[in-house]
Amino acid sequence: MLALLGAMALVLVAGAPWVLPAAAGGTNLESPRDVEVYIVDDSFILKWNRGSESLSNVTFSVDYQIPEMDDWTELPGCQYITSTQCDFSSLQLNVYDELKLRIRAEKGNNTSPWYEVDSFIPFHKAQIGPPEVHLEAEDKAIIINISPPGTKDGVMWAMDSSSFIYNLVIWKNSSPAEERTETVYPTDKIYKLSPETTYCLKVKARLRMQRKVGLYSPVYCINTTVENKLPPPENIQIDGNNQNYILKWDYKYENLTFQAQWLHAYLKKIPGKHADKWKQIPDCENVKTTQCVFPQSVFSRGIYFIRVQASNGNSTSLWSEEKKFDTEIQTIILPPVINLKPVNDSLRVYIGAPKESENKSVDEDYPLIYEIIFWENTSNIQNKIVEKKTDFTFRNLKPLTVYCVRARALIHYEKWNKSSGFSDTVCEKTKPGNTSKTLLIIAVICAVLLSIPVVVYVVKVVLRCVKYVFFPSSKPPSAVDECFSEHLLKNLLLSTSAEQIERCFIIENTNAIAAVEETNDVDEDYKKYNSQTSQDSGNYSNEEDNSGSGISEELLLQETL
Amino acid sequence: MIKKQFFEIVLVLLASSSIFSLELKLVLFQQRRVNRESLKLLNKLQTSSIQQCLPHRKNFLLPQKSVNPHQYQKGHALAVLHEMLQQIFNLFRANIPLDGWEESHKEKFLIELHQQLEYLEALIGLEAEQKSGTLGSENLRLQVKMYFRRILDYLEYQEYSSCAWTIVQVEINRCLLFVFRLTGKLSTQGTDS
Repeated sequence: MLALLGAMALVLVAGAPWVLPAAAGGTNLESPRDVEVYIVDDSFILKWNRGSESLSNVTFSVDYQIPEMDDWTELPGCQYITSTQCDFSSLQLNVYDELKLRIRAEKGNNTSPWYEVDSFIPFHKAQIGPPEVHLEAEDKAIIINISPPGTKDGVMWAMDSSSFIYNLVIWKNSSPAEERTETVYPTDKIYKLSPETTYCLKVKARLRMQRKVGLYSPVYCINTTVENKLPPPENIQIDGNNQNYILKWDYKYENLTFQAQWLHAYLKKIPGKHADKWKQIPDCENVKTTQCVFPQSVFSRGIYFIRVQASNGNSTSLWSEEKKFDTEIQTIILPPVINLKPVNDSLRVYIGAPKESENKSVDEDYPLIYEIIFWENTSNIQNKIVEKKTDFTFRNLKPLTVYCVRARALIHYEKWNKSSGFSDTVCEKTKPGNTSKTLLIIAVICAVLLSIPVVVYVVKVVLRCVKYVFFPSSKPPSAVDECFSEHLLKNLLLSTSAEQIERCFIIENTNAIAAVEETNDVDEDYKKYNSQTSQDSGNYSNEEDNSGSGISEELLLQETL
Repeated sequence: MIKKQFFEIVLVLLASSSIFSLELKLVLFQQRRVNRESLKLLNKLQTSSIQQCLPHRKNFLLPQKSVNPHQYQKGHALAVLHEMLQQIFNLFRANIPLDGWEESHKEKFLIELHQQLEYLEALIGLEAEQKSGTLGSENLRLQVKMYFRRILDYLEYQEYSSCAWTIVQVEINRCLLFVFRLTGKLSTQGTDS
C-alpha cells in the first residue's frame, strides 16, 4: 500500500512539468538533461537537452567552480542561453585544475533545480584537434610541415607542443585502398614515392605518453614532380672508428661530387621550419668518393640527422633520406671482461666493464645486454644466453669438468643494434659436485665406523693403564700380601715426600730381593721392609730378574737410614 | 659565470639520469659526482647577481612531496622524470631571449635534454609494452605541468627579465636535484627487480 502511494507520488512529481506547466504558472521547471562537456584543443563547449520540450522562452545558465573558489561563479558565455549549447572558451582556466559546472533552466522568475556536472580536469577531458599540414613536393618525396593542434596562444597544449608525434596515412589518389601509415616529426619527409603522381594524406597528432590520440586533419593532396635527372644518394651509413666517423653512401653513377650536412635532431621536435639550420660537415664537402671521413670531435654527444647530396657541376640531386645518428650509439663498445668462479655444482660469472673503459665507453650510460656463449670444454655444443645482469650463475653443471665462457655486450635501443667484439674465452673447472659429496659422506661414515673399535681399544688400553697405576691388579706375592696393610698403602699414595722417594729407591732393591725371596725363603724382617714401601713391586721384580741374591739385608737397611 | 656553471651542472645531472642501466654502483658513483658538482655550484652562487635578484624570489612549489620518489612504482617515477625533462626542454627551447646565455650553452643543453628524452621515451615505451601500469601517473604529470606553468607565468609576469631568469635557473637546478633523487630511486628499484 505504502509502496503504491510512493509510486503514485513519484509519478506525480515526474509528471508535473508536463501536466501542470500552464496551470502552475511555470513554477516547476525541469533541470536540463544529458549535459556534456566537449573540449577540443582550446574550445570548450557545453551541450545539454531541454528538460521539457514543450516550454518556450526557457533560457539556461551555467555556473562554475574551481578549487580556489569558495562559491559558484557565473560562467561567461553561458548565461541566459536560449539554445542547448554554449561556448565558454573565453574563460581563462587552469586546464590542469579540477573544474565543476552546474546548469539550470530559467523562465521569468522561475528556475529549475541545478544540475551538477561531474567535476573534471579539462586537460584530461580535452580531445586533440586536427593539426594543420603544409606540403611540398619533390620527385620521390613529400616534405611535410605540421603545425601542432590548437591555436598559437592556446593554453591546452602549450606545455606539450613539442611532445606531439604525428601519425600519417598516405595513399595514391588513383588507388585509395593502398594506404601507407607512417609516424613523422613536425617537419619530416615521406620517401619512396613515385614521381608525377598525386598523393593524398591525412595526419593526426598523438601524445604518446598521455595516450591521447587526436582527430585526423582534412585530406591534403599534392602531385610529385618530374623525376630529377640525378637521383639522391642512397643507403647512408655512418660508422665510428677510434677517432673518426666514416660516412658512406651508395650512388649509381660515377664522377660526381657529394656534400653532406647535419642537423640537430632536437630541432625536429620543435614545430617550425628548420631548413636553414642544416650545417655542412667539414670534411664532407665536394668529395669525389662515396664516403667521407671526419673527426669525431665534429659532433659533441647528442643525436643528429645527416643528409647527402650529389652534384655533377651543372645540376644537383635532391637531398638523400635523412639518417638519424646518435653519437653514443656510434661509439665502439669494448668487449667485456669475464671472471668465473666455481661454486658447488655451479659456475658464477661476473661480467666486468672493459679495461679501457676510461676511453669513452658507452657502458656508463646504456643498459647493456650481454650475450654469453657457454660450452663444455670437451664438447662442441655451445649454448647461447642473453643476460641483463652482470653477475649470474650457471647451475647444475657436471662436477670437475672444464667449462668455457665468452661474452659480448649488446645495445638494444629502438632501431639501433650494436654489439662489442667477443671477450677472451675464460675456462674454469667446476668443483667436485654433489655425487662425490655423497661419496665423501659415505667415506666419512665408514671412517667413523672403522675408527670405533680403534677408539674403544685405545680407551681400553688407557683405562687399563690408569687402573694399573692407581688400582694395581697384580697382587704382590702371597707372602708379601700378608704384611700389606691398608694404612700403608694410603700413605704411599698420598704423601710424596723426599723421604719416601728415597725409600722407593731402596724398595727397588728390596723388590729385587723380594723376587729373590720368592725363591730363597727369607726372614720376617725383610718382609716388613718390603711391605712398607712397595706398591710397584711387580714392575721391579721384572726388571731385576737376576739381581744378586747375595745382597744382605743389613746393607739395605743402612742405605735407607 | 653562473650561467656556464649552471649548464655544467645540468649536463652532469642529465648525464647521470640516463642511467637506467642495472648498475647501482655506477649510479652511486654518479651521485657522488653530482653532490660534488652541486656543492661547487652552491659556492659559486654567492655572487652579486644572485643577491640583486633576491627580491624577485618566488616559491614555485616544486611538487616534491606529492611526487615523492619513495611512494611510487617505477612507471610513475619514469613518467615524472620524463615530464620534468620535457618541460625543461620546452622552457629552454622557446625562442625567448635568454639574457646573457651563450647560444652554444643553450644548444648543448637542449641536445642533452633531447637525447635524454629519446632514451626515456624508448624506455617508457618498453615498460608500457611490458605492463600497462601507467595508471595514476597522469595526475603526477599534471602536477609537474602545473609547476612549470607557474614558472612560465612568473617569467611572463616579470617580462623575462634577467633576474627572473636567474631565479628560474636556480629553481631548475633544484628541480634537477629532485630529478636526480628520483633517478637514484629508480636505479635501486631497477636492480632490485
